[in-house]
Amino acid sequence: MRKFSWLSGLIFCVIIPVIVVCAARFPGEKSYAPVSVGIVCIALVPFFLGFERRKPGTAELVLLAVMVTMTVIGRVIFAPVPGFKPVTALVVITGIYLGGEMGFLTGAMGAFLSNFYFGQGPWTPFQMLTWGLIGFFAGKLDRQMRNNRVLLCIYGALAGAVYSLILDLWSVLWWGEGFGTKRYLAAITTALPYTVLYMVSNVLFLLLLAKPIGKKLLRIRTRYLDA
Amino acid sequence: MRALEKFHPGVLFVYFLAVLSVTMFVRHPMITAASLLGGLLLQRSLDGRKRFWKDMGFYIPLLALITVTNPLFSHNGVTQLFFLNGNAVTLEAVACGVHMGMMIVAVLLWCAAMNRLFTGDKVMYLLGRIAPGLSLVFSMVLRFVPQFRKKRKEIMTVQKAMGLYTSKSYTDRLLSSVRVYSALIGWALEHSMEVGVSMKAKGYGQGRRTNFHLFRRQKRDSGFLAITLVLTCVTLTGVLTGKTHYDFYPAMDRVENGCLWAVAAFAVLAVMPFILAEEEKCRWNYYLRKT
Repeated sequence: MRKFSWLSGLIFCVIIPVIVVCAARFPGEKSYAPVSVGIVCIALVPFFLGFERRKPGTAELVLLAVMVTMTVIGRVIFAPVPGFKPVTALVVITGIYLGGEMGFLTGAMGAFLSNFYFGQGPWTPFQMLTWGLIGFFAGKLDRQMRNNRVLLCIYGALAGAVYSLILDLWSVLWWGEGFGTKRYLAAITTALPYTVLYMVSNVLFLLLLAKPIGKKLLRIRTRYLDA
Repeated sequence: MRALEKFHPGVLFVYFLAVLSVTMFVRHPMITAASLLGGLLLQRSLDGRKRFWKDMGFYIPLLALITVTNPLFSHNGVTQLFFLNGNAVTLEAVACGVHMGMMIVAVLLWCAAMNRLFTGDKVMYLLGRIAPGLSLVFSMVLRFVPQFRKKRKEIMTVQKAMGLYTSKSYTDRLLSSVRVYSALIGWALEHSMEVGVSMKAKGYGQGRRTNFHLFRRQKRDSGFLAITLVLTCVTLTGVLTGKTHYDFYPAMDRVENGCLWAVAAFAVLAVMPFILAEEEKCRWNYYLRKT
């Protein structure tokens, strides 16, 4: 994702606004839910295309596959400790040590593939985009977060909150007639314990995993990728 | 189930896309009911009785929840039923809640059916054309998941033999899981780099990538696709000419007779997979009885 190509520009500046305007004008139908799913799907395209365009080498492909697999089975391995899932933490670590593009792809593909085991649904694109962006922005802040544990923890907590807020937005768009501030507040309040759990578990996993996994990733990177 | 599984992935994709988008975009009670009916029948046919009712144990409360919560937030509508905390609960809001719940359950049912029928090879076949790199990652992950799980078990066994991982305390279990996870990732990275190097040595990236599949377009694929497209077009004609326009607020519209042909077309579309699956079951039982 070094440069946004003309296609990404077209998608973000033309196609998405056109869809929003058309949806607003669509005769009498209030179709927030499908339109939001459509927009989220389209927003994923430039990231995937950027990856395909630059013809990734085998090392990168395999590395991505490993990181995606680890997010998928992270949900299985930590079954003995209910509520604690290392997915977000792993996506953040990937973003920090392997770059924003890898972070995005790990998050997005991880959501897509783990939903083959946990149930695919209209929420899949939302999960893909949220986890993807968490990884992408982690990649943007890599230098700062590698050396600063406090910043890392803040980012982890924030990522948990944002993840929860965006998925609540999804439920509000789906379970009601359109968006309402009241509904959204109600959804956030009911989800509050989970939000806190996400935040705590993200921070915990980042503290426990960032150093050991980061070291391994850096080693792989210097040995195979940057050579 | 083979009757549906054997269809060409492209044909299945078009079918599910058509049903899901009509279900999500068109807000008409009869269309939603038809979609829900089709989804329920298909799910019943794919799942068998026991699993079907187990899933219903989730869908029915969900439907009830949405029905109950909608009137709490929406006070539109002209027919007031009673007052709750000074806010009117209206018949229209309840009806709209039922409709919305039905739509969501229908979408979830169709997604579940899609999940069953779109196995990894089908996804890869469709994805392989547009995104060869990502579809390769996809197929590698499908292979890695069972492989890593096996390895994880080995690591855990060793750790247990060393006397770790035995206490029942929460922190111990968490730390042990973290240790296993970290060990697994170290092994996985080394192992995968070997895979990458050997792929390169075998000439990955030279020429176009092909992928193995057993799909061949047959007559029944073309037939199914043609029927799907015709029925979808009929439904869409009804939608675009405004025949299926329906408002819950301020007062519920009456269902006009003019929309019935569009609804009927969609209903046929929605129950088609169920009919195909059941027809196959009947034929199978018939042959069994004959021998």
